[in-house]
Amino acid sequence: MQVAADHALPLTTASVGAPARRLDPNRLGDHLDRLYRAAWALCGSREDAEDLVQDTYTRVLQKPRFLRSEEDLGYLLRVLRNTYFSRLRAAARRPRPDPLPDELDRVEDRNATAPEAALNASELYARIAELPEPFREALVAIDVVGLSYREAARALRVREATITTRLYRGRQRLARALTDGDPDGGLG
Amino acid sequence: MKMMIFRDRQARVDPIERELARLADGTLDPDRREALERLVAGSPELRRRLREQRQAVLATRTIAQPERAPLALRTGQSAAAASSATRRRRWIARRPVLGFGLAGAAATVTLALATLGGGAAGLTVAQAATIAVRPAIATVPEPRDDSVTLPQLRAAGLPFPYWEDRFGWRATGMRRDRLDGQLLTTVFYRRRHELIAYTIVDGPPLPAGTSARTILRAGTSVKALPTGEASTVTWLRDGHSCVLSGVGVPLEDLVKLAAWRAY
Repeated sequence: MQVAADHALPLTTASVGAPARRLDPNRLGDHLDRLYRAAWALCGSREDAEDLVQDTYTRVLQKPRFLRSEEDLGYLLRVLRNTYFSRLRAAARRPRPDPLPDELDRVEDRNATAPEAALNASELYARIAELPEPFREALVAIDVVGLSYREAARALRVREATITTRLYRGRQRLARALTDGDPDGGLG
Repeated sequence: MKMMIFRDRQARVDPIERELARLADGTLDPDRREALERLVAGSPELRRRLREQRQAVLATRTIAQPERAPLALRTGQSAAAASSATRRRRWIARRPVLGFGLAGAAATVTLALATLGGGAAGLTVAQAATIAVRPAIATVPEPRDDSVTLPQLRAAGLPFPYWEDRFGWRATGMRRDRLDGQLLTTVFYRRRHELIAYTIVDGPPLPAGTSARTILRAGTSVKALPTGEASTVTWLRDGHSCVLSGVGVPLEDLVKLAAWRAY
């Protein structure tokens, strides 16, 4: 275990006292791309990422949500993360369904990236998904989703210093994995 | 026993890890940055560690961030939001909800501008504008009171504007690139969820292409490039090409910024 100084972030009186505001469901689409990337980095596959984002939005839209002192994206990232772990636990309890048949009609997706670019992105996301969980979450929150250190710390409920250390180590492992395929190579 | 475990954990924390992480992505405090850069310059080990950090940052920003949610997911999310609104009358009428994240937008900039490339005939405005999709690699210093330019930051002898107070665009980072032998200095400005890139080319004026439209605003001749969802304008300052580009930002906003002559 390489994570040090891993303390839960205490709930401050400032956050408790801040006025609540309702999460606007009509603005959720603004964060779709970034949540999708976060989901992909967590799951390691596009298909699972799509399912995860869909489940996340379904969960969020089930009832009105009220936020205190928190950015929408940070909140959504935390829901996504919780949904991810819920799905992992549920998947462990039930058999996996067979894959869909291949003869489905194909429809052009203008948002899709070029095949050669997709290959690189798939490799990168797969590498990120292989990182140890704390490092992966920090890297996803800051480098993939684009949260600030403060926002990421709040979303993941850890201290900013902890997030920064985890990010450093996540990047270090990712760089080594991309270079020689061994994320642990040379790590002490 | 608990105390011993705590000490052991603390001993593993290397403060320089945090600073290297922030130096790599441009969020390190400028005061500390210079000292750390000197330290890194004198240490092969730290140079290697910083290189790893930057490699990972570069990979995620150039490969991972341009990925956009697939169409099916967009459609599903949009429908779910609409359905939710129908169920709850207090939720106001549906607005367009197709998200357009900065990074996804950046990918579109690349695609749009790639179609305007100048080929082998030398650097063009469209090619210079592709810098907009790259990440900042350094922070920019805060201006002094009442300043209309960013301090200590010049390209081709020209300062970059300070727009935050007047237009709400905050300078968030910068980078330098060499394209086709010319030095390009870019400052990134952010306003809420919008991002624009201001590039000054240290070299002769760049061709804007025959499809560019000329707009005369406040005595400045601004050329607007047709780049689809991306907006790009270019104009000359002291004979140097300046390029301002962004996705989802109205062209009119860019023209206004380009024509601002308070600096």
